Order: sequence, then C-alpha cells, then structure tokens
Amino acid sequence: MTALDPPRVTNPAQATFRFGRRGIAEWRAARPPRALWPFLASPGVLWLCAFFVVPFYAVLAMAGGTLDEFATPIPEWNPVAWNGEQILDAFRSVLPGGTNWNPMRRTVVYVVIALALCFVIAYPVAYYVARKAGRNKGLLLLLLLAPFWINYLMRMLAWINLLQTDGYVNDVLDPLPFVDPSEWLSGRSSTLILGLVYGYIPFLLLPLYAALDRIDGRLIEASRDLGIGPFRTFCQVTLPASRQGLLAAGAITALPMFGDYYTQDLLSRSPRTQMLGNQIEDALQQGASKQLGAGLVIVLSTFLTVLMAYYLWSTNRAAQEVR
Amino acid sequence: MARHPRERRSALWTPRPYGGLDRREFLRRTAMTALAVPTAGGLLAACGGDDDPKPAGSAIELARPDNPVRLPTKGSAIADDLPIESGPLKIYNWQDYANPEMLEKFEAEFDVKIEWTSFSGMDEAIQKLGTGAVDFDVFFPTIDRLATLVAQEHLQPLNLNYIPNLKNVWPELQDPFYDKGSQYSIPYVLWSDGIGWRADLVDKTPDDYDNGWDMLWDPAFEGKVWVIDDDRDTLALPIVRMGRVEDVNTDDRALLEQSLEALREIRGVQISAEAYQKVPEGSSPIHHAWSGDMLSAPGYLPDGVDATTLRFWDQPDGRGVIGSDAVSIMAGSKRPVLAHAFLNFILDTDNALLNMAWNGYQAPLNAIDADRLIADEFFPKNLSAAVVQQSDFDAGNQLMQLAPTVEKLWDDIFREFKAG
Repeated sequence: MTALDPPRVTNPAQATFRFGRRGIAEWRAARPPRALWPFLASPGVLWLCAFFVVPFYAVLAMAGGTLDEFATPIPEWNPVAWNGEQILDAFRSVLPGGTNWNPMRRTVVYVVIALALCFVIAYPVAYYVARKAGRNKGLLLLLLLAPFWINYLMRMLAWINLLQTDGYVNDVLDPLPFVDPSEWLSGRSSTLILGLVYGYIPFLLLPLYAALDRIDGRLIEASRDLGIGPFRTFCQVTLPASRQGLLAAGAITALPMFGDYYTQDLLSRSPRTQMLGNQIEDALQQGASKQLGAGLVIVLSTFLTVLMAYYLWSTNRAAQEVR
Repeated sequence: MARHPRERRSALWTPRPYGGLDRREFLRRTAMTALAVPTAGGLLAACGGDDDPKPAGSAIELARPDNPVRLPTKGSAIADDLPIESGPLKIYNWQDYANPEMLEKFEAEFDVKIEWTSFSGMDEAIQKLGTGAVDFDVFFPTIDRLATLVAQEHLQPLNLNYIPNLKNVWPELQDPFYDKGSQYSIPYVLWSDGIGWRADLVDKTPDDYDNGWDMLWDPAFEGKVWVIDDDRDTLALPIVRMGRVEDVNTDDRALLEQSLEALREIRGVQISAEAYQKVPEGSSPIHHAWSGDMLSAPGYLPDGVDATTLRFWDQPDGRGVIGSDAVSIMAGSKRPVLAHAFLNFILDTDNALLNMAWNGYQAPLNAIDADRLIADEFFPKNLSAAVVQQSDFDAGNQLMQLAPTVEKLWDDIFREFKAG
C-alpha cells in the first residue's frame, strides 16, 4: 500500500465506534499524512514556481544581463556571470542624488498619505458595518463594494471626466464661496493621492471589516460594564483587538500601491508626480534600459520584502502573546 | 475592429474632402497641380547630423542624406508572378494609424480578412517581434529603426514588381537615403513636430513670441503645457528652439543635458502621446504635437465645440523636425504576396486619400498636392500649418537612426526628465 492510498477508516466518528479512542490514536500514529499534505499543496507550489519563482529569476537574469550590438537586452541565466554592478546601480539610483530618488521618495510619501486616508475613511465604515449595522450588514457590505465591481481602469477614466476643467467636480465647487475651480488634472500630487485612495480602499475595507467582525463583543461589554467610556473603550479594547486586522489590511493595500503606475498615467502624467512604478514601466516598455527596469523591480521587491517581514514578525509576535 | 472617433466627427465640422468635386475629378486636378510643382530637388539633402555615420564596432551603418545606405541583403525577395495567398493578412501597426474603411476596402477587393494588432511605441513593437512568438505579415516601422530591424532579420526584401504604385510616390522617397532602392520599405505618411492648441482655452499664439516655441515656456501657461511622450521628439524640441535643427540626431551628451534642463524649465509640464485626443477634449490646452495628430483631432471634439478652435503651428521657415514613416513586410510572413498587394494598395492615390481623411497623416504621393488639400478644405483651414509641404524637407531635419549606445543615451536622459 502506498502512502497515498485512502485510509480504511476515514470518518473519525466511525473510527471511535469501531476502534475506540485508542484505535484512532493508533491509526494516526501509523499513518501520519506526510505525503497527503505535500500532495494537496503541490498545485499551489507549482503555480508559485511557474508564475513567481521562474519569472522572478528571469527578472534577475535580465537585471544582471548584457546588451547586444543593437542595444537589445540579453538575459544572463548563469547567476555566477550576473553583472552585480548593474544591479547595484539600480539600488543606487533610488538613493538621494540618484536619478530615481525623486520617484522613490514620492512613491513612499504618496503611499503613506493614501494609506492613512484609507484608514481614516475605511475604519469607521468597516466598524459600523461590522458592529452596528445589524441585519443590514450584508446589504451594506454589498452596496459598499458594488462600485468596485467595475474595472479599476474604467473607474479612473471616469475620474478624468469628473475632474477635468469643465467637469462635474468644478461644476459643484464653482458656486461655493472661497473655492476656485481647479485644474485637477494638471499634475497635482493631491489628485494622484485621492486616486490611490479611491482605487485601493476596498482592499483595506474588506480585511478590516473581517477583523472588526471577529472581535468578541463581550470584551467591549465588559469594558463598558467596568465603567469605561466609549472613547476609552475604543482606544483600549477595540483598537488593540483590531490591530492585526489593521496590519493585514495595510499590507494588502500598500503592496499594490507601491507598484502602481496606472493612477499616475491616467490622472497626472507629470514628471512632478512620477512614481517608481512609472519608471519601471517606462524602462521596460521603451528604450534600451530594460536592465535598469528589471533592476528597479528587484529594488521594489526588496523594499516590499522588508515591509512584509515586519508584518510577519508582528503577527507572529501577536500570536505568541495570545498563547 | 475598434472604430476611430473620427468616424463620428463633430457635426460642426464636415470635411469637404474633394472640394465639392467628385473623387476622380479631385485626383485629376491635384495630379495636374503636382506636375506644375517642381520636385523638391534638394529633398532631405540639406538634412545632416553631426554624429559619425559609421560608429566603430556598430553593426549598423547610420544612414544620412549625405550618406545614403543600401541596407544589407538578408534573405531573398519572393519570386515574380506568384499567386496571391488567401488571408488572413496579419498587420502590426500603430494604434489608430490606418482607416478601417480603407482596410475594409482591401478586404473586399482581395476577398481576405485582415487581422489587426496595434502597438503604442516602436520599442514595444520591436520587443514583441524579438520574442519570435509573433506571426505578422505587414509592419509599420519608423525610419530610425529600419536598419536595426533589417540587421536583426525581422524584415524581408521587397519584390518591387509587385508594387507598381511605388511610381506614385515622391521621387526622392522612391529611393530614400535610409533604404536605397526601397529594398525593405515603402513610405507611408509624413508629419512635422509643432504646437497644437485650443484657441478658446489659450489667449496667445506662437506668433505672439519672437520664437514661437517660447509659448511652451511661458509661465502664464503653467500646468497647461504637454510634450510628446517620445524621447526623440521631445529632447529635440529645445534643440530646435535653439535654432540647431541640424543637431536633432546628436550624440553629444552635453547638448542633450542642456535640452533636459530646458525641458525642466517648462512649468508644470505633462507628457502624453495622445495630442489628437487631449487637445480637442481640452485636457491638454497646449500640446507639443505631431501634425497628423492635430489633423485628426476634429473627430475628438466634444459636442458644442467648434472645430475652428483647433490650431497648429510649426516652425514657419520649415527648420523643425519632420519625418516620414514606412511600411515593411515581416521576414516570417506566411502571406508575402498578399502583403506586397497590401503595400501596393496603400500607395494607390485613391486609397491614400481615404486613409488621410481619417487618420490625418499625409501620404507622400505625387498626386496629393499640399496646397490643394488646404484650398479645397480637405483639412480645416485653421489647421493648414499641419499640412506638410514637400519643400519642408529642404529645411527641416528628420529623426534618423542612431548608434545603439547613442540611442540609449537619449533614452536615459529622457527617463531622467520623466523622473521629475
């Protein structure tokens, strides 16, 4: 019999009936599912290998590769022969004084501000839907997510119509005193940040909702019963209890924001708002600097890996505290 | 196939393609006019670059008007008198760069289907061709990349016996300096670089300045100025403004850096390759633009905006950037005879006019006289500056092939500009 053959008794209840608790323990000891789990995980592993590990290796090969006589990039598949200096150049370019320092700095600033705004907007909404909406919870969630069934690109294109000089936003603002109609699409950082917030807020809303929904209501009741006011209860009970949800939601939202290039492409197109994602797209799509583009992909991935490592360390520590 | 908005032109501007004449009469008259116009004897001859035409170690000989190049023969042209294959004909072209009506006419005439794939930039296109995983018959290269494409064996030599309409082309472009003997390409359309704007949104014109290009640098237009998303055209812009059009193919890093600094002085500058759409919509009130983009712009005007609001300016003395694009057949084409038939088809004057009426770009054909196009309002009078004259090639300069290392230099400096 091979390790993959189905066990004779698959239903633990049946096992209890036939063999008693001792029988189950013996069966488990005799047949640990060592082969079963790798087998079940294999599609995911294969997927990751085919669509992450191999492409990422190709990016590395491109970043460390050479140019032929026509300035066409030639990937170098042998890691020993990689041009490390070329990859280091990509890292140097995002440091102060480097050619990509401004896009890198902007990307971090935009993402931090957009993320903060996402939290400020999404937290009360998620809180209300998760804890106060009662029977309407499902409906509210559906309504909140309905606009996001439309493709990201389409929604950004709609913003162009809304924000253009003779668009609806200025039509609304125009009659207001002390407000001048604005050139929203003239390369403003604020427009770009608002675009990021609008585009990515559902990524934050859903995990946050899930985290808030899971908070044990008795903890909040206990706090109130002990005479603590609603604000302090929120600060000392609800917020700490949703900390892991906040971290997870922040990570899920920030990762794609860091690599975003479409928002700038559609809402600005100004060198003043160029993000690192745009530099990567330009380098890979146009001209003879594919190696720099590949190098910048590695730079961004490294930066995000550091952030992810912090997230994993933090969740791991929280899990240990619970234990 | 997607429909170009030009097909739903603003009702406020109805083109009169043939000046009230029927198409045949128009062609007859313009052909007569063309005979009266002396051919531009010095066409392109005045154009010159300051870089070494044969850089050491380069696989590509740099074609210049004073150094015409016969491209190396890679493979052989198809034999004469072969039967035309059945379709589909697979075309790889710039987005919105050919009239769907013209393509349908070809389909009907040859009883084949056309499969159309578009690209948004020459680098993207060449990158895709380089994968080898494509199966196109006809390709639309720019002349500054033609030698590279031949050297990389992406193109096949043409058998000109299948393209008798080549005789319709301006004599100088029947045997162009970048491809002597038209071995690999036929000319497609012409363009010049200039400034496009909407007169109802901008209260000045380039003629209000001593140097018309200064309009782009006017602080009054902060946040309203856009430049073309193309390293060659845009880095050449300050060079032309300096009056050094002969240097638009330079390999001088210092000059390119000077150009970069000048571009950075344009307040609130933005970048796009869609002047044909953004100017009429009003989202880019002033745009450094290709002439053909502005000629196709009326089709994108919002309802209620008059087509006379669109304007185009280019260097009045002709000392600006001009150019022509090309059409070639892919080395791996499975339908080479049909592809030759297509090349011959687009050089037919009637078909070229049909194409022009939609995409705005002029074909360099003898029978299509620029003055006539303006007089008969084939294009709106307010955009007459966007019509390329044959004589423009005497004074202007083309963006020509660069050595690979120089090409990378232009690309790197342009990316620096985009980084802000």
